[in-house]
Amino acid sequence: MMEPSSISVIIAVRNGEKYLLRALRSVKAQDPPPQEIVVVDGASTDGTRQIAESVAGVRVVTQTGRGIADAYNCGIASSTGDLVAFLSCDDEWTPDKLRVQAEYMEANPELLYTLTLAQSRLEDGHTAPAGFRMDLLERDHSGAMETLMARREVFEKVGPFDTRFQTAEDLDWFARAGDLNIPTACIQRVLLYKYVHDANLSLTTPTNNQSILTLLRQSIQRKNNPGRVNGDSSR
Amino acid sequence: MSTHYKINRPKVISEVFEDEVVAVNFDTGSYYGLRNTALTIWNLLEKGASTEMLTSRMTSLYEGNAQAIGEGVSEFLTQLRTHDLIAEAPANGVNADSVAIADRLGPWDPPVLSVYEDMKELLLLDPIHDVDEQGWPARKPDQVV
Repeated sequence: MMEPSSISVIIAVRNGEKYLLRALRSVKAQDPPPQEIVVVDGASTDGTRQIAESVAGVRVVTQTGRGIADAYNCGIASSTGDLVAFLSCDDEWTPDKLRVQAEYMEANPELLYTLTLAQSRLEDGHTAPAGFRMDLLERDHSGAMETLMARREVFEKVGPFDTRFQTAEDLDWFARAGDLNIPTACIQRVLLYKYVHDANLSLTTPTNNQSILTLLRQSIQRKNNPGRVNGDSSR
Repeated sequence: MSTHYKINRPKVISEVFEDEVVAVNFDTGSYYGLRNTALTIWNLLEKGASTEMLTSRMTSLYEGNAQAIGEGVSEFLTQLRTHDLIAEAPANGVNADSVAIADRLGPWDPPVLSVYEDMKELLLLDPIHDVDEQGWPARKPDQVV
């Protein structure tokens, strides 16, 4: 039998003391456990670092650059697993998340990355932020970054996360992977609980629409000029 | 009477890049590219132009048969409505002739709406940001028409 792939878990976090422990507990509850848990600390000024360091088996890496895209890249560069999985500090995995997803990817070796379904939940005592789609609280939906499990080599094909994006950097990466026809699948099982609260980063950043339009413009340009190198379009 | 239109904000967002408008419909997760004559029409729609204004302005901007231009504009508006990117709106007193566009833009080509659906799932996860003053949670998504 083939040696199972090693898994690195990456949590990029900046000032996430409120929820980080819940996220880390859900990683520690994975059966079997991942080979590596890397918390990339984006110069937090709260108790994030102490919380991360208090959990056995967690390696804390200090981000030298800025922004979430850079933090993801930093986590990828600082980790060694064959498979890389990402989790947000305010979300939570089901205990079988890594096992189900890794087995699926073992069984489908052509897939270079997979996503899973997710369930959104309103954080206790919070109201949904402006513009939030309430229907997401009522149905299982496709997850994004927090459900991503990727083979390490896919980052050589697609490239790193584009640090020019302050938000929607994950959408940009998925668009680039899609334009390259990278084989992928969404596993039709809920393996992530996504917590919605009134301070979700991507929900409150006013530049988000701008980022989305820019990344879609770049994707259209790639579709129109398939030979074009990533990331050289006008911004 | 000539029909006036508005862009279906906030569920539709758009931006003009140098030679193309990119628009997203957050209700469907589809996104769109509009270039050339489609771009010019979108720019005029942004200002609240009516069907009549659009046809007359496009006829003066482009070289082509007036009837063909009129039909092309009308078909394109139908397409934009089908994709729920625009909706009828009350006249807003805009005179499309006052919207500054370079003089002759060249030969008329029927406007094209390029439709992309490859990011649907992920775009449908995104919140609608530019909520109106009433804002959330005063209305539910299924009430957004």
